[in-house]
Amino acid sequence: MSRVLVIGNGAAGLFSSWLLARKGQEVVLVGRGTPSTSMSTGCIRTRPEGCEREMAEFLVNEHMPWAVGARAGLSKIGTPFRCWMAPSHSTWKYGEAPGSVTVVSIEGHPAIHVRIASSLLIAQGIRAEHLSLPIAVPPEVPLTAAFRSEGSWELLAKALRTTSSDAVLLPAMVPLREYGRLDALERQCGRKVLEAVTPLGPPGLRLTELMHARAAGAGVTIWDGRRVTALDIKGDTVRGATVSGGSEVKEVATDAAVIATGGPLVDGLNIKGRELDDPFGVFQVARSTDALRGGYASREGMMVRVDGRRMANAVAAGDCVYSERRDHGSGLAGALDSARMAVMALEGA
Amino acid sequence: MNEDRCIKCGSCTRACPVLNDPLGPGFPGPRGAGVDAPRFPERDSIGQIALMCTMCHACEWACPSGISLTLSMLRLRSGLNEADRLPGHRRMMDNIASCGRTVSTEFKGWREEGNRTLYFPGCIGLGRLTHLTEAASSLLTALGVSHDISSAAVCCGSPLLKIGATGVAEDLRRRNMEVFSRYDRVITSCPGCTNQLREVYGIRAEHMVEVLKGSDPRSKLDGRWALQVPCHLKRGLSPWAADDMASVLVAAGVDVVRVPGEDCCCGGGGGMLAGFPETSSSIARNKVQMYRSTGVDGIITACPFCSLNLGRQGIRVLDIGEALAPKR
Amino acid sequence: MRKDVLIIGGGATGAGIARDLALRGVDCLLLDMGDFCHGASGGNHGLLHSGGRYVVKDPGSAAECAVENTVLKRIAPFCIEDTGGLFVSLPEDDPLFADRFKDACRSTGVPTEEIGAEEATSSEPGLNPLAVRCFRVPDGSVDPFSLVQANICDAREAGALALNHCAVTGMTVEDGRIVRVDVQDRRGRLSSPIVPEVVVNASGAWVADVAGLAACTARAGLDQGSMLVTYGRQCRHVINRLREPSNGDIAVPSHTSTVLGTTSRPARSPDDSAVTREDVDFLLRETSALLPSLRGCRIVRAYGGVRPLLGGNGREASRSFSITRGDAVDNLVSVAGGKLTTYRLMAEKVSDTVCDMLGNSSGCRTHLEALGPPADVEGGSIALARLRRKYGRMASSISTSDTRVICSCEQVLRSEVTAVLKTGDALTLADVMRRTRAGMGYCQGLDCTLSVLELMMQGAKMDPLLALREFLREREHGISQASGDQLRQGLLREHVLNGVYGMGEME
Repeated sequence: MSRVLVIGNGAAGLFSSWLLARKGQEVVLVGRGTPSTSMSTGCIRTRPEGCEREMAEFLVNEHMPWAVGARAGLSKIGTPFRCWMAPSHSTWKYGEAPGSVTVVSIEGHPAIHVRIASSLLIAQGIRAEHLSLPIAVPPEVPLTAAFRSEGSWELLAKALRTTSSDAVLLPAMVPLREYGRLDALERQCGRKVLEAVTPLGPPGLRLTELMHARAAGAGVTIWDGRRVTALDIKGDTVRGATVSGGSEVKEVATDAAVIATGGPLVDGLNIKGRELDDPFGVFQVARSTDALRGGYASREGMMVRVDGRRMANAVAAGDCVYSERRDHGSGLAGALDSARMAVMALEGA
Repeated sequence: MNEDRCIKCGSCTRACPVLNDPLGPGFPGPRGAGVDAPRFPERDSIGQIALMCTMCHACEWACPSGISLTLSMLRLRSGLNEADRLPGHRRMMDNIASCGRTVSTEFKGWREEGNRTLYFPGCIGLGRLTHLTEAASSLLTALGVSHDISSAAVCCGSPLLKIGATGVAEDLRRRNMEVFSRYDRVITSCPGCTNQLREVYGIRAEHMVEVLKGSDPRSKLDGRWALQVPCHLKRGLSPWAADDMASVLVAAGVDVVRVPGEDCCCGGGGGMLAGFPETSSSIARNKVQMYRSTGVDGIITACPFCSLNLGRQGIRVLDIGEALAPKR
Repeated sequence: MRKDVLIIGGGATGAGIARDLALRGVDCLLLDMGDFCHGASGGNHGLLHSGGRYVVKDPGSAAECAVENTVLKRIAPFCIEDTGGLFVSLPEDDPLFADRFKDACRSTGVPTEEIGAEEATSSEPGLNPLAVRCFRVPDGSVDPFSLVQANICDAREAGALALNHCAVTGMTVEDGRIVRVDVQDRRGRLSSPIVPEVVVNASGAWVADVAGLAACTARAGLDQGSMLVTYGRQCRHVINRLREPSNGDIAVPSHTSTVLGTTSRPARSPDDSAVTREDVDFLLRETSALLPSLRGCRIVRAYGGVRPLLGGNGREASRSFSITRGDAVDNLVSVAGGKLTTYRLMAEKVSDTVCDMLGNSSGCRTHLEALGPPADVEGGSIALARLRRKYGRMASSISTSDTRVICSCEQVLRSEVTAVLKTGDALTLADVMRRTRAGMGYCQGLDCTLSVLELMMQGAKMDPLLALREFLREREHGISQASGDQLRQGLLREHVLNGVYGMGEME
């Protein structure tokens, strides 16, 4: 058994840690803050090429069932959203769109935009109905907070009885452990309950919690709130890292490293002016015509040093890997798939 | 300052315990108060909204842009006008003036025996939770750490920085440094104190968890216990110390149940307990409800503020010192 | 519809003319093909000139600016930040220019005071410590949107009719007079042609196009200028480079930002306002010579404006203005050139000419009567404190009982948007933005646009995707030229809008 240091606790870091731990490696996962996939919609947009089975296994959870296959749903402004794998209430089977939808909103709260959504539903041939709940929630307060009380859920169920459409479109507002409420609501109101597809909100937070629990359950040592400030590299081998957290600094030894610090959005790679730059000052950063598509260069799966030498035990995963193919929408599948490839490359090494 | 890195992803607002509490109205959230409000030339002080934060650092950890939101809040507080001071915070200042601590002192068991180690329980341990201090002291003794508890030591000043009374905090530091100069080692039970002593005083104070880590204590505690991992321990002092808190308890034989959200704020920090008691106890109530749903017998924490705030919700709360103290 | 005067162009000049004429009791109609202030009146750096910038090369303009500066501070204090300005020379600048500047200030009446470099850096801590000569001038920053709105509001109160989104499509000339003007009103409020006594062409960069409708010519060179908006106020004063007016020599603190300006190049058409990467790099390089902290600062937007200049191109052209009667047409008055700071003076002169033609002998009152109250900074939230700055005396029409914020970058209240929509003037998201500033902040509308659109759709039928795309695309221009953290902002925006909401896919 050897020790692998995974740097970055986003989707790619959590998935690669889990894959490695499952294979019996001792994994230490270091991330700067709380684990986060909260920019995500929680849906897998494109069909992951090689890791569908592992991914399904990874995401299986008692709290949140997943639907797999060609799926379609609605964003919180009513535009269509297509994906491959989604929490069961986010989408319907492609081609089985509801004929009419009740859009549920809280007046003035940006969790869902009902007039925009209704107008865009009608444009897609879906009949739209509007239900405004008589609850006041300030726009900066997440709806999750208001829907922690039983009263709000009862109010919602009661209000839904007065509507007649095929499906209900709710703002995203349930945390992982409460996901079962959507099933209960579906039973109570006798029709499909859909959660609007939303970036930057509860779906991403649920996914984070789920991935975090899976990684921890597989025995990964999770060092959140800590940051790798330097790597100890001898020749082509990462031998350790300096990790700082709070007012403490520790040196850790490692046999291999997975770098999954994310793209510029999460500050994994520095941006100087318009150029990406390796915060460790060690690795080659490949630049694309669009600076932000760049990332760590690799050769045969392993990272490459600035002096051109191929690393023997370091791989990159997720958004910080250089890829011409990466584009918005393929984020999660791409990140997970690249994590799997990184782990495979590491095993080969 | 690095507030200009904000991309408005809202991660901080989703992580904020105050904003997510039903009784936290009026607080615009970490971004609203820490990033957005200070940008406007119309105001030199943003008023009491600067005080509606528990300083739990959760926003800071959630921020993908690495913005120092807590520092930003502290700076806003230091710029508050006297008129913005909350009644609870005035009381703290009055207590400081009369006894040197933020709450009136109830503790009687001072030990001034010339030992080289000082145990520094903090204002809550000397005022409200004297049993915590007594247990920690007897645990230290059982572990062979002979120590003083000095009546001359005053508040560390951390709560005063958090209510924007920087000048008073500096005065307290000077008084304490005189006391500390007689000791080689300072041990605290409150991570807020530990941080203050390290960051502001520049002395290498140890938190009880750090002392316990090397000393292999045993527990005779029955039942299943959840953890309240203090914000100021995990996100303030050291995330490793927070890991150690759990491992020390497990190694001591305590049946520890790890629950998601154990490291979320109890609502008691940042001057909220005195400043906005309703919001503070509402956050604690919701947290305790979560703990109850897991069927544990009680909660173990390592911060007097957590002990006090959660304990008021009618659940058994032990400080780590109490959990590992020799039975009397 | 019969009108004494038809004013074409609702920028600062047109709005000023409408107010001036209305106050003299003239029955006038103001039309703009887009929104009020959509051209160069909104596309400038919002500098309230002391005149200092022009004292050496264009003393006439400088003297005009010096007078108007004090007039505007008196009549429109709500939309002016009296920051004061500094003219600063650096070691590489011509040492003789400072003396010429000093003399020219004296002769043009621009108040100035030379101060030591030490005093300058203590009152402006971000200033380059290598500063050599420093002069204080009464520069300030003015919010052009608020200023124009206040003029329109005042003109309306005095009886003028002002309509935006109403384009002039044709003019009929008979016997050397314009007898009929055809219009196309996007909202159908005007159905019949206008029959005016006098037509005023105040259409800025479009002055030649409008004159052309009456087969007249109006000469104005079109000149494009680029500007950058920084995150946060990077300086306390307006900072000018003490040298011959040139590119990249000014920083104007305004609201929550600093505007860095400007560049100058000939424009091919009034719409040729695009900003290039070179402009951005150049502006940052030049202005950071004065304020070194600008080097690493976050640029949240880049924008351009096309201004009509008189006589010559770019920096050589005079900043003064001209009023011309149509060559073949008796009742057409065209005005071109000038500056935001001198808009009122231009309006006064045009109105004098028009009143002469109409036989109206009332005098100008625009310099005597206030446009609005001083900005109120007492009490309440930031959003409340900002109401008067944006709306002048109209601020009282905004309900302050609903304190919900809709745009947190600019602290805009939901009720501001509601109040603006109630006026009926705002047809597009950009119209709402010009009035409320919602969408002008550092996220450039990512956070607030959907909520604003949602409110707009309460009262009007709109194609939401079309509206969103039109607005957000325009706001992106700056982001794509930006750097550092604004790039991350752009990436998040792309992820949210295109990746999740599919705005790119549904075209």
